[in-house]
Amino acid sequence: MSKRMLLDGNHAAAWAARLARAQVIPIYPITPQTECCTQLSEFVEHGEMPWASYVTPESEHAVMGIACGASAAGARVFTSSAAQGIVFMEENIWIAAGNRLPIVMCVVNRAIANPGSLRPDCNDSLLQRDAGWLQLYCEDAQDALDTGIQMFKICEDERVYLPGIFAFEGYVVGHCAIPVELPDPEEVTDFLPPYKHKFITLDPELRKYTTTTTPRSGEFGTERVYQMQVAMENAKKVIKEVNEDYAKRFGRKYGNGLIEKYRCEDADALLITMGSITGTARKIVDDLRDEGHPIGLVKLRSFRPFPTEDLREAVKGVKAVGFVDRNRSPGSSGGGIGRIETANALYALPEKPLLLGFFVGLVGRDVMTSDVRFMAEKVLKAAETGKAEKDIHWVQLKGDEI
Amino acid sequence: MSSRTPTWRSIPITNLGTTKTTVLNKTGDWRTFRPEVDVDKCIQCGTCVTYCPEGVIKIADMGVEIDYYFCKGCGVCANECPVKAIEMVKEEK
Amino acid sequence: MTEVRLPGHALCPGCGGAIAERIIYNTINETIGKDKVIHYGGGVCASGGMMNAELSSFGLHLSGQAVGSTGIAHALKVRNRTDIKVIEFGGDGGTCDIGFAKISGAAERNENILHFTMDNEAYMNTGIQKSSQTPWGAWTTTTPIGRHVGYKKDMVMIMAYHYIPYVASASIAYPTDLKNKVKKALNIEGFRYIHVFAPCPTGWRLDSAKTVETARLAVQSGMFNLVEIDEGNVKISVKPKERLPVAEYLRYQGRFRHLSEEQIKIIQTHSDNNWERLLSLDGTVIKPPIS
Repeated sequence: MSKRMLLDGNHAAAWAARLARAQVIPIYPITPQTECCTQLSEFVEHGEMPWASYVTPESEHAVMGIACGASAAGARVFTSSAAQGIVFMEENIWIAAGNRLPIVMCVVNRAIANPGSLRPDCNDSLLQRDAGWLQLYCEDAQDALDTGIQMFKICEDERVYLPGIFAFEGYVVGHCAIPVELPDPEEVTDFLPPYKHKFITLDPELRKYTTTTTPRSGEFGTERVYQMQVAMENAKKVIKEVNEDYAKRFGRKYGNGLIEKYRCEDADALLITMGSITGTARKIVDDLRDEGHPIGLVKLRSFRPFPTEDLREAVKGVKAVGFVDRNRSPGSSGGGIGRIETANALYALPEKPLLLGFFVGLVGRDVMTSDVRFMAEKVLKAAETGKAEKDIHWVQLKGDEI
Repeated sequence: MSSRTPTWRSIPITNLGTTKTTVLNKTGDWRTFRPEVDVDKCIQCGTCVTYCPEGVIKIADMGVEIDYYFCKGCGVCANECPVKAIEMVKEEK
Repeated sequence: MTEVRLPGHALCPGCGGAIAERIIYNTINETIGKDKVIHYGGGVCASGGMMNAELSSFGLHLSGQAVGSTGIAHALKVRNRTDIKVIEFGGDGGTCDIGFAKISGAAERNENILHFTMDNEAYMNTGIQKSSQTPWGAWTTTTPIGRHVGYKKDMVMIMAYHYIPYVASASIAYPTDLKNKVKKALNIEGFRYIHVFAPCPTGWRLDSAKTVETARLAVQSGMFNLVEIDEGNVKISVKPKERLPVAEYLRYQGRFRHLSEEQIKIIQTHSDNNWERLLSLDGTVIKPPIS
């Protein structure tokens, strides 16, 4: 039986790990993820997850190392971290991806110091965009639960075999409780069969003598990276398939899996958002549509693999697009990380829309409806006039932009 | 490229390879001195077998036998032999 | 004796670590069989033979001491395969320096791992740099006149005070002692730590033939002591009948060639003080506050 509970993002992520029957959980507390860490320890210690082993490592670097070892030896692994913790485990994050271990990590976005905060911005998960991890962004606790469960299925697909991150903003999603529907555990087990890696043979069931050491892995380096690229391309298909399958079984769908379009029919202007800002943006789009403005919204759910084809298709006939970046990259070629990736994705189109970039919500600053309205109006103006007054807007900056 | 060259399609996706790939390394080429065993002095105590870093010495019917394909000529066996039955002799090549 | 590790590995001629690895792998094979072990290794000198060994093995980077193997141990637990043992090799740099927090954490949690530290007293693979286990006065490329603060921190006692079930130090020059310690450790559950003295002819500027002899002189002069702490009971494994002067140990090694008489006297004092301290601990019990 499915049941409804009042859960915030952190607890939803813990429930996702429990329903997915994660077997080894090495996890280290860091604000704003602590409740996810402690909830899982309660599940395991009270016997509600008898199949699992909970580990309390002494640092995040140890967390990811333990995750790699456990995954290689045939266990399904879940962990979670944020900001400084992610950066501390960076070394092993790359090793996990290179070893093709399908570890699932929940990143509770928090601004990396300096300037840092306990509050969110997305740099900690976006930083892994080159490492070879999948990245899906969630807008609320229900999304976190569903995406968390789906992540295991996506990563453990034999066409993929890459680790994956599902991310949501700390406090805004992590500590904001909403009614969440939890699917029936048996149905989830039917959807997500037990973990069995086809290629890693550290598995005690398959006793071949194999060895891997990190410094010696470079002999076919280019080919291995190419394999990861191919896996990322496959992941686009797999994410869509899993999204469909999940919708059939449990009734909730997230766009086509990679992006979700909202009121984009005959839109002249589009706003692209990630994470919780999407919820606010939907309301603003509704308001503007009521006022007669042709604006639509695209929620970018998957950042890796980047949905190039889907975005190109979504911007057909659109005059101006604005990317809402809750991340920073001082000295970049123009704007935040999302805008840069989108610009590259649209570059090959013979006819492309104007592309604006917006910095908002940096280092945990709250994103208000007025901020979203401001951004939407800028994009509409660019669509109407045929040119952007400025490519990049620092929406909440105190003081003038030079 | 010949058809035998590995490509991204043919190599396994992780660098978990099977062991025994290094038996093709002729580490015997490394040495400048080779151990020569005086079979008459050898008492087959097994000290050299225990201490060889390569593991190329085995007790034979008479004395010990050394796998010169891999022996690196370090000299530990000669130094440890309790009856000084092994002598390090300069390689002729 | 069947060789678990096949020849053709890339370790230096006369490598102490290579000798230690052979003894350990073969003992494990004789005791529980190579099919019943998963081997974790980090660092190249420490686990250089791992890729040639007929064992299932896995390695992260050298800073991952005790974490990869913890993961493997937990995975085996949830898969109900605790018949398979996890062993791990690390260097003195990987264990005592960069991985120190990890080893301490794993010991504190009493993870079910048997850890071997291959102590060659410096970061050898990157070209002989000083580590926390480099003895006072030794030449390394980062201590070219042999001056650096620090004495060899006592890993055996540090690990013993984590109250783990088994800690020991061993040496390649005492292979039977090493074998017995490995056999004993394999039968114990929980975190076990064995610190193996493995001279490096390349890094110590030593004739490769003298590797084992140097290890023997180290124990006989008190520069490295063989101790066993089983369930907290401290026991010195080898008490030399006559303690040799440290000068006997130092003279073959190029890394000590620059030492003055004064400095050799200081090293002799270190060795004597260390021995006194060990003798006073011999026969005592190190037990946690609540048993």
